[in-house]
Amino acid sequence: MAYTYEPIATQTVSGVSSVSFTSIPSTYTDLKVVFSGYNDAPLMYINYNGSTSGYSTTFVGGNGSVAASARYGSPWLYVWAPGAGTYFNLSVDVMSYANTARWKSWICKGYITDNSGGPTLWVGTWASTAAINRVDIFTSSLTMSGNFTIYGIKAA
Amino acid sequence: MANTFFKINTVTVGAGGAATIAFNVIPQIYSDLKIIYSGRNVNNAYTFSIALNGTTVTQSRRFYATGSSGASDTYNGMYTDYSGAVANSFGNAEINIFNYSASTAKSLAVDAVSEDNYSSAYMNLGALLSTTTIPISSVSLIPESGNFAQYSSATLYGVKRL
Repeated sequence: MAYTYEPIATQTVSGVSSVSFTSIPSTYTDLKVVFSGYNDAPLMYINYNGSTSGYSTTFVGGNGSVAASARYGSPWLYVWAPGAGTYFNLSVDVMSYANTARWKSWICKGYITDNSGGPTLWVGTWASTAAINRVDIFTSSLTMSGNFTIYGIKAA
Repeated sequence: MANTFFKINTVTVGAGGAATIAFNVIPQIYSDLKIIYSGRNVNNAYTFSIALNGTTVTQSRRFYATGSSGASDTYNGMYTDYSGAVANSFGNAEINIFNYSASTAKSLAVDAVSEDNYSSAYMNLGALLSTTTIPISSVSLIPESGNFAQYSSATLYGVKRL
């Protein structure tokens, strides 16, 4: 039986503002990054191959009382701050990350239960045909703690 | 290549229904847990809740939508099919429980849908938080009222990181 879902790397961090996965092999179909932990800062965002431009994101979600949606020209993963020390999780699915014939797109689902946060669903595009070999996740201060795991997913 | 998902158990509801779908023996050898659920309530109840170690998780934020609108609330029920749904339809859900064996709070991610062949079918993203610092050894799904219908089922997987 072939396995289709393989952990490539895991990082456990405490009080950092960024996490990097480098030298990502091009041998999978899709990538998935999963975070579980906490981050007191009001946003997290992602960059591919070290690029800081060419991003577009749109989200829909709710904070427990109001549903909202918006579009940004930035690679946000979420923009609603969880309460201090509130555990939450994010997953980012990056489709066809090594396909050089298309721009890259992703889906991020974030699940926050405290303060002004709530569940959000983001879709994003990076206007580049380059194969992704590096993923960086940032926040605005030294506040990220938890586990980051990047998985490779094979379609066949 | 390493394997990531390990099936722990499947529960399928028999004739007469069941008041819970429970996984009571969970080994502490994985990183996370994932449950794939397909089910239906026998009562006029649209949701099910989740209990960890016998305690229902109540801290919740939902974003939910129908075929015509979206909203958000703090209810801890996740959508599934109910007695008034079109016959033979079952709701579906994916439940992720992170760091279940850690001595920290446990965050849950739930994607749930009901299926009704009408615009009144619901979907929700559910963010749940259990503040228990005890490793999770049992997980139960509980209908809002009544029983789960026959043929409702759920499979529990263990998920490994490196």
